Amino acid sequence: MTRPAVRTSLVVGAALAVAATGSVGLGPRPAGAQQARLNAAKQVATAAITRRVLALRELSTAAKATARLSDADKTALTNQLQDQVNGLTSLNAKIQGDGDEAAVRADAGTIITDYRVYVLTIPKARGVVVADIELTAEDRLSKLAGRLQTMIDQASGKDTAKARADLASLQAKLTSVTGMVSPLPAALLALQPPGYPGNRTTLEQARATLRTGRQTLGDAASLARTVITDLK
Amino acid sequence: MKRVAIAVLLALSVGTAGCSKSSGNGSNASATTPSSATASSPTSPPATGPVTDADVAEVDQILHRLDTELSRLDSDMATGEGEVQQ
Repeated sequence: MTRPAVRTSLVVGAALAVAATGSVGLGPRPAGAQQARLNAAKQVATAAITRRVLALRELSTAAKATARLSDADKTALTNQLQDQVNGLTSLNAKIQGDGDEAAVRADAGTIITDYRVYVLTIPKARGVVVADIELTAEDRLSKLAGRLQTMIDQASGKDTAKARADLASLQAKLTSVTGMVSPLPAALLALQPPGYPGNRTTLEQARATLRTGRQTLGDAASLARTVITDLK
Repeated sequence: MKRVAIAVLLALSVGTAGCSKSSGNGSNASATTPSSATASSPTSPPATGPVTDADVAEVDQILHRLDTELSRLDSDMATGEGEVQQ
């Protein structure tokens, strides 16, 4: 478990413990106060669940707007997000029905351990959305490259050597982007909460690859402009 | 007639401003900022014809959206499970 995750568990555990047992816990407690603490613990859990559900729904909307993901990847992404929303919603109902503070504490702990919403699900879903945007940009640039090739072929009487060389560089960049980004959605979607924190490395690598992809796409766009200038 | 029309327009503009203000406060519970991935895509360039700088500018718009989402990814990954806890 990483340091933030350990800290998280401690903070959550401490908050729930305080809510469940009271900050001082001396002597027998009246039933009314005990009920109040039980209710407070439930409210803490509900708030934690609500924040996660809102974040998951926001990404569900983004997932539905993806354009270049395969049908299988798109379905997997939306299903995984919805499964977590459903699971958390059911968990909240269970917590609200818990009859004692220990049960609330145990169930609330699974908000983190069973879902890993913030440290895994949200970043991995965002990574899939980013990959989709990069593949969309690659697709658009690829179409432009095809039209630039036609312009070169039709530029009779001009020296097109530089334009051809720049277009070849552009196409190589696009091939590179496709090669590095296309496998990412499936790789990210394979990451599941039980594999955390071990699978965090895959997440970090995917982010680095997406950064490289972004840089390469920027270079490709610049090359497209250069080819246009070459042909003037 | 003219006065009535002006009064209606004023009333509508006040109402719209009120709605904008209240809806702007509505998303504070979310731990992440709304994604722009749902924003409409740039219009598709023509499939044929000479490529212009305007065509590349449309790619730039996609790259701009990409930058926004990459920043959100960085933010997501910097957020630990506990930093959003009470």
